[in-house]
Parts: sequence; C-alpha cells; structure tokens
Amino acid sequence: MEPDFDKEIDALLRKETAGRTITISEFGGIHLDADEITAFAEKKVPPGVRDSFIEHFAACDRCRKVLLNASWLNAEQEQAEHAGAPAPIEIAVPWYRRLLLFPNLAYVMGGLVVLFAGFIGVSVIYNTFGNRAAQVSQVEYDRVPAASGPAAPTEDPEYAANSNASTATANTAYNTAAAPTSANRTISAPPPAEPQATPAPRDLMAKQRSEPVATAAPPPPAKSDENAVTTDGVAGGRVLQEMRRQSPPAPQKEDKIRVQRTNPAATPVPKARSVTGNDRGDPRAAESDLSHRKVEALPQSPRGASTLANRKQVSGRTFELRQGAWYDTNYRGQGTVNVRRNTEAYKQLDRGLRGIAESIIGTVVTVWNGKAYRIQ
Amino acid sequence: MEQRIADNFGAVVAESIERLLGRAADRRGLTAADLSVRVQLALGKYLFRENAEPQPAEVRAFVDEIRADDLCLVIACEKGDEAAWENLVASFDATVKSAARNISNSTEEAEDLASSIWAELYGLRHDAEGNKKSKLAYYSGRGSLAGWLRAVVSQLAIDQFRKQSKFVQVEETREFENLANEASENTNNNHSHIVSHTQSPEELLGSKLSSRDVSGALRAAIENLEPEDRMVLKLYYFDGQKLKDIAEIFGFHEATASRKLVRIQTEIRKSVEKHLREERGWSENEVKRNLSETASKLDISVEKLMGMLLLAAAMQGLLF
Repeated sequence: MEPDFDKEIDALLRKETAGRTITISEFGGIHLDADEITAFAEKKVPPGVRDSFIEHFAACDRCRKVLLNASWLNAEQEQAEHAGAPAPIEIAVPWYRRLLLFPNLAYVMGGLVVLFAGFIGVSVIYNTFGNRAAQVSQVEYDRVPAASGPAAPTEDPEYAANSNASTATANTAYNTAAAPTSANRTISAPPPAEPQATPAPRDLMAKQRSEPVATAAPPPPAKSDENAVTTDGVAGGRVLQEMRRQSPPAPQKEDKIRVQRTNPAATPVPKARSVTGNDRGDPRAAESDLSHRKVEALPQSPRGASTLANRKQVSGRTFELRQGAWYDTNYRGQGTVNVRRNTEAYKQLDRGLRGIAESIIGTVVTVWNGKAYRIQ
Repeated sequence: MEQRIADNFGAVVAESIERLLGRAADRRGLTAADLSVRVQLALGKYLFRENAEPQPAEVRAFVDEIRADDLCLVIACEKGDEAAWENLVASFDATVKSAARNISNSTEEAEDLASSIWAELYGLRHDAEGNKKSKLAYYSGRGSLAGWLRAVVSQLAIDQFRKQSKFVQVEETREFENLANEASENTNNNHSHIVSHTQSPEELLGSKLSSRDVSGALRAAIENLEPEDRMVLKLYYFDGQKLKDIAEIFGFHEATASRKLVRIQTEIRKSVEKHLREERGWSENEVKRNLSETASKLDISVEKLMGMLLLAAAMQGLLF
C-alpha cells in the first residue's frame, strides 16, 4: 500500500529516528506489568482503561517494546499452530446420503420408478390371470361329468342329463340323506377317501350355474318335496343317523370345489357314482360313499363372495338360501316340524326360535334344542 | 479499593466468582474464597482504577470474561499444589522456550532466559515476611496464560538487554534534538564538499540553527498529539513497525492505520509551521523554504552520496 504521505514531514521524522536504538524511558510513572500488557495485546482491556494504557505506551518505550514483542510472539505461535494443524477431517458421507447426491439421486429415482412400475404391472397381471383362472376352473368344474375328476371334458351330455335328473330328486335326496349325497360327492370330491357332506347336488350345480361362466339355468326349487320330507322323515331319519355315525358335519359347497382343485391327483369319480337319479336316491350308495370319504373342513372358495347374497347370519346362526328356503347350516336333513307363522303352534314356540323366524322372510329351516323346525 | 469493592459489589462479585468456578473444567480443589482475593485485585487493576465508578453489570461482565481454567491453575500453583505445578510446566514449558528462542540471539541465551522465567514464576525470591515472591501473583486471568508468559519472557529479555546494551540514551526528551544535531554535524563535516559546497559558513550556521528550530518544532508537535496518534507515530517511525502490525495492535484495518498516519503527518506539519511562525517569528516563505531544505539535507544518505560520487566521476571521464 502506498500511503499518500507528506514527503517532507515523513523525511523529517525518518531522519530523526535513524540510528536510534533502544532507550531507557524517563517515564516517571509505574510501568505496566505483563498482565496488563497481555490484556492489551489480546484486546481484553475494558474500554475505559484502554486510553490510559495507550497513553502509557505512547510515553514509555520499554512497555511499548514489551507489547511489540508479546504481540509478535503471539503471532508467531499462531502461525506455528496453524502450520502444525492437521488437515481437516473429511466427514464421511454415509451411503444413504450419498444416494441423494446428484447424479446418484437421478439413478435412485429412476430405479424407484422402474420398481413401482414393475410392481404395478405384476399386480395387474396377477389379478387378470387370477380372475381368468378362477373362471377357467369354474368352467372346468361345470363341464366335469360326475364320473370324472378334475380333468372332466368340457361338454358331457351325460353330465347334463344327470344334472337334469338330479333336480327332480334333489330335495328328497337332500332331506332324506345327509348333505354329502353320493351324486354330490361324485361331482365335487374325486377321491373316495375324501367324503364330504354336501348339500343337494341340484342346489350345488344350480349355484355353480349362477356363476358368470355360462351354465345351464338352475332348476327350480321343488318345494313340494319339502312337504314330503316332513311327512316322511322316519326312513330319512334312519339314513341320517347312519350317515352321522360315519361322517363329520358337511363342509360348504365352495369347500367342495376347493377339494377338487387341490387334489388334482385324486382319482376320477367312477361313472357308477355319477349324478343319476338312482344313485342320488340310493341311501345305501350314499352310505357306502360316505364310509370311504373323509370330510375336511376347507376354507371358503373364491366363489364365497358371490354367495353372500344367499347367506344370512341371524342370532349367531348361518342360514343359506336353498330352493327358496333358508336352511340353517346346522340342519342335517333330519325330519322337521312344520309350523306356520301366526298360528297357535307358532306362538307356542320359544321366543328365540320365533325371533329367528321373524328375522328371516320366507321359509326357515332351523334346528332348535335338537329339533328341526320348518317355519313358513 | 478492595474494601470499596467488597462494600459496593460484594454480592455481585461473589455470584460472579461462583459462576467462574462453575466454568472451570478443573477447580483443583479451590473455593470461592481462594479466588476472591485475586478477582478483587483484578477488578481494582482494571475497572476501579482512577476512581472509576463501574456498574454492577460491568463488574459481572468483567469477571465472566476471566479465564477460569488458567486462573485456577495459577492459584493452585501459588498454593503449592504439586500436581498443578507439573501441569503448568508440562503445558507451558514449550511456550516459554519458544518465546525465549525467538527473542534471543542464541540457544544458550534462550535456555538461560527460559530458566530465569521458571525461577521467577516459582518464586525463588522472598519478601520481607519470608513469603515467596512469584510472578504468578501478577496474573489476573484477564488475558491468556500463554500470552502472559510470552509477555513475561519479553519483559525479562528487554530488561536484560537494557542492562547490557551499549547504545543507551538516558533522556527521551533529548532524543529528537540529539539526533537532529548529529545529522546536521555529519552533513556539515563529512559531506559538505558534495552536499553543499556552495554554502558559506554563515549559511551553514543558519542551516544548523534552522534544523534545530525545526527539530524543536517537531518535538513539540509530537508531544501535542493525542496519545493514540502519538503511539501510532512512534510505532511507525521509532519502532519501525509496519502499518499492518500497527493495525493489529489497535484492532483496526491497515487502511485505517494508513489514513491515521497521513492525518498525523498533516497535524504535525500544521503544528510545526505554526510553531515556527509564532515561536520563531518566521514568515510563511521562510517556513516552507527551511522545511524543504531541512528535509532535503537530512534526507541524504550514504548510498545516495556514493551514487552521486560515481556519477560525478563518470561525467568527468566523459568530458575529459
């Protein structure tokens, strides 16, 4: 820096100091001690005292020299400390933070986009093929003849004929025999070692035909048979007792379908057990079927969602709509006591039973205190 | 003064000392009573000097700025704590030796100086009552202990040098006059045939007297400066410090130091001219002429003289 000095005064002053060495000041006052000089050098002197220190330094060469030396030594020490200071430690950036550094961030975001797109695509594909598989299996189920297993042909006139024949005797077979009838079993449960208690085959097939897959129209419910059941419960009751001894409670219709699917290796149902009127109406055949079958409790089939409209929960009991009547799932086809609403006999029924009948519109078949009732 | 501090600011000082002890990383077994005397001495040295009337907030702030760890270490050493002494030596021996090496001409001098410092700190001397006289008693904790030790080293070195130095001027007040006279005498005796070979003895005497008057005016002008300006001027011209170092001492920028110096020179010129006019009865022209002549005469150096001699010789060779 080139200060704009007064050349003459500067020359006068420089010459006056040329050749000057250290002097002993005639300063009459007390010299500043090292503590005060240090405080001044480090700018720790209170403002009010600083002026007096400066006045002393201006007058006292010795103290000024000490101040200069102390300042110079402090500066030297600072430089030495800075020179010897270690290099700043590089802060290690963790890997998850490095991912957010550009351009890593771009790669990460791109990867996430690809990942989510793939996930969405897989979900879509799974849902699509999953629905188709459900539909396909349903179609296959519909086309499988009673005599064959999971590999039933797609079209089987015998199957259609058998199914038609079964409608006429469905109610009777259902009311007299247990739910796991032989015809039903031949259709749904391939292996003899897996007997099932199923509802009337006609009902089962009707339910299947009600699925989106094109099927034959469900047969009309045969209500007249119900009346016949009530009056002919003795023989049916004997068969029922035998069946109860030999088989556990019937699973759901959907469970039957699942059994067939999950047992692809099961042997096909022999034609002798196909859905025929004779087989259906033969309790001994049903009994023999049952003896070789094992009922399994199976989870709901994928078609369970479509049967919700035909199911009701009343007073802790589950009722299924079959043949125009609501059947308690606890009902095993035993003989029923027929009661009409708003009659004296109805009024004598238990309040709980009447509550169930009043909660459901239409005919209700339920079991109450071990006795089966049909309330109309 | 201690009584005055205790009476008026006793509670404030006690509270501040407690905070000071709380700030210390290692109290070294000291209590507030151990620190109270030293803190009051520091207050008396800095805040309560010259009958100042500080406020309680100033007292509180002053004590809060005291370096707690350094002060506790020093007081523990004074009380004879061996562990504190070992800590002091281990921590600051390098500082003392480094300062001694930088300020001394040789390694032996540096070692002697360092040994003397530690002896002064330990207190080999005793007072009339038989108590150890240690320089540690003068440390208030206001500045850093390392800076204080460097100042102690510098002080001791200067005192030793003053005793040994051959070139000592006794009176500061005469320095300007003596130097100005020496410059004038040298100019007249040794370089008169080059500098001013046309001057008559009367002119030479006039020049000498003028220089004396100018020097006197200079001295008076410097003495009339403000203390800070005077210190700046002395640091620059007498101590040979750079503007950057001067700015560092005062805590302002180098440009500020430069502007200050220019202003100081302007003030000196005005003061010198006024002094010569009023005290010596010179006219304006005489003042300007004499100042210019004095400056030009006094500005001649040996190197310049040699250069002029060579030039004159070359000119003679060319001509002849």
